[in-house]
Amino acid sequence: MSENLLEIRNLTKNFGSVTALNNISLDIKTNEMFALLGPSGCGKTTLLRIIAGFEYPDSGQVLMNQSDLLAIPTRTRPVNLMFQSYALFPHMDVFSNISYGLTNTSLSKEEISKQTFEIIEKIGLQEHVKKKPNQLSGGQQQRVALARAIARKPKILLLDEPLSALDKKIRQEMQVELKRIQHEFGITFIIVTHDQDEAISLANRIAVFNKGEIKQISSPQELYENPTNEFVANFIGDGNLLKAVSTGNGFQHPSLGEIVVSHNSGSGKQISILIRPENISLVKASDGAGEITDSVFAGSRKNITIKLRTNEIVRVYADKSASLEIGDRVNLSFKPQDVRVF
Amino acid sequence: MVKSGGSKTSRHLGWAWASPGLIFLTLFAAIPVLSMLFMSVLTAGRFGGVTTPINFDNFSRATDPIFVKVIINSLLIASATAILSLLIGFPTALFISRLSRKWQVILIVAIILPYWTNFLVRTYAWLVLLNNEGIINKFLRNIGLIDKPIEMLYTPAAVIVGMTYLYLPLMILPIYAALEKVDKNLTEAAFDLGSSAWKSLRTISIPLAMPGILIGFIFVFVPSLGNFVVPELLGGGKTVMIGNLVRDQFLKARDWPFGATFALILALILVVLISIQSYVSKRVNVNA
Ligand SMILES: Nc1ncnc2c1ncn2[C@@H]1O[C@H](COP(=O)(O)OP(=O)(O)OP(=O)(O)O)[C@@H](O)[C@H]1O
Ligand SMILES: [Mg+2]
Repeated sequence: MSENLLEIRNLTKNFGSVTALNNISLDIKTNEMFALLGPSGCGKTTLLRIIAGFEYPDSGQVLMNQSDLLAIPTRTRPVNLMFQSYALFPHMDVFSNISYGLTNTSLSKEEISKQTFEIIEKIGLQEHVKKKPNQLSGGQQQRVALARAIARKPKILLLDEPLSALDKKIRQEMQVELKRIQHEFGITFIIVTHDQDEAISLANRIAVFNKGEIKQISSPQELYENPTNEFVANFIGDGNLLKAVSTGNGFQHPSLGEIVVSHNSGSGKQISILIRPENISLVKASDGAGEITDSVFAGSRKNITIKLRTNEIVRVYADKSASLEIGDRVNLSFKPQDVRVF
Repeated sequence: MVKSGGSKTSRHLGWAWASPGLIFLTLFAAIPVLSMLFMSVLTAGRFGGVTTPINFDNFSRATDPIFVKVIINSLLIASATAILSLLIGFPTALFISRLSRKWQVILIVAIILPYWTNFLVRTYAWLVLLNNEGIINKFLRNIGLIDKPIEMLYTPAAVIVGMTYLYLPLMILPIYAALEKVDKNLTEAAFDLGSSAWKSLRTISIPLAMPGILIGFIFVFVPSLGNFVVPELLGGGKTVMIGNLVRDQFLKARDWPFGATFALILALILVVLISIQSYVSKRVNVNA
């Protein structure tokens, strides 16, 4: 899992005045499940389309095993794309859709049929071989699209929002399926999503995009625990971002007081601090720093909303049995090591 | 499945919705066809028009080898026109559908505009082009390729070329519309899966655009089959088609019943064609 399969170097792509990708660099390792995560319009699809060969970058390089991928024509790149809309051929049945890529090889008819049925079996589409795409459910169509894209055994499978068209329950099933299939076929997956939960539960590593730039690349856990900038802190997980002023050995917040944390922002600067809702505990106090404005029962816990004197809103996960009511004044406490400073 | 049949009230409502269409069809399809049918079994009046008695002689008269030859000839010329239009029209439509929006609009307008000018004028233009002293022959002679003019005018080929020129927009437009509707992702998926441009055309674009191709074919075939002006102008009266028969029976021989018989045969051929078209496009639509 250590050598780089794909190296993307300083990739830039403009569409007229829109910069879809701005000097992107990232490495993808063999057999990795790599997620590109970011809000709509941040350039995720554009990056996939460059790797697949449907767009050409304005500048930069894409190397596969150290050789120039962009020099290989679209139709012979060892890369396949699973389209956001599936793009199944509506006039062909499931078998013809899945075998389509193999018919473009020099394999014999028997061999094509054999390999296609192997895939059909592995992906669990045996009962649907003769059906047309419009006779399939969303989840089944998704499987056909996946089977069609891996039939040629690409080195990299690109998946553009593969699960976004499915409802929640099937989506979770398919997440498990995707992992199983990735493992079974031993193919590197690059998966695009704007759903952070999906990225977190699927990927080994995640690149967080915003406006054509990469904000951070790391493991899901690292992204959550140690975001390196405000955008990632805000984008990943529920978090409370508060405005504070740095002091030599911590920060000063108008409602929370002076807190000692190690950081290197210097002194007297406007900074943002991140504290996750599960890292805050609440103590009732008549002169508390904030007032509870909302309290929602969420199964295993209570989601509490607090308004600070600065009018900033803080979300806290409290024990479901905690006797905290709307209108109560509370003090907030947290460990300095749970605070991130930007 | 949606509930089929439905209650009495919804069925009545269904008829109500369809009524403008039904009125239209009755006025412009059923009544003319029925009156032709009626006319064809009557006897010709002395100065045109029709009288009794009712008889079926016209149908056996129409099977005379001379007329059968004209009908077959018409079918061949109309088919050749439709095929030539398809061979020119499909690549043109494909080319246009691949352009940017702006250029698509410009070219479509450029194709439709001449269609609005008088078709006699456009047919006469071919007289000027094709005749023995015409531009093409002069040019070929000037560059020394020929020393005697090639007889181009007054041949079936001239009729085919003239009608192709006349009706080409009717081929290009429906094919263009059908190709435009084919999801761009589908052809990209074909390339992604290793297809050549030709294979993606053959396996994706053409099958999915088939309803449009058939409509284009019929749009060109139908007016070609019934045309009598182009055969007369460019075929010089040597190339007789069904349209000429119909016209001659009504206006020259004053045998309205026999003219109606040929018109009926023409209508019959079209019904068969349109049935085939609707069957095929239904199949494609079920799949799409
Ligand atoms: N062919 C194109 N022509 C012009 N602009 C484009 C084109 N393709 C993408 N863009 C623009 O580039 C930017 C990035 O688009 P892209 O499709 O890569 O976003 P995305 O991250 O995939 O978004 P989404 O999550 O909505 O799919 C957008 O602003 C988009 O409008
Ligand atoms: Mg996208």
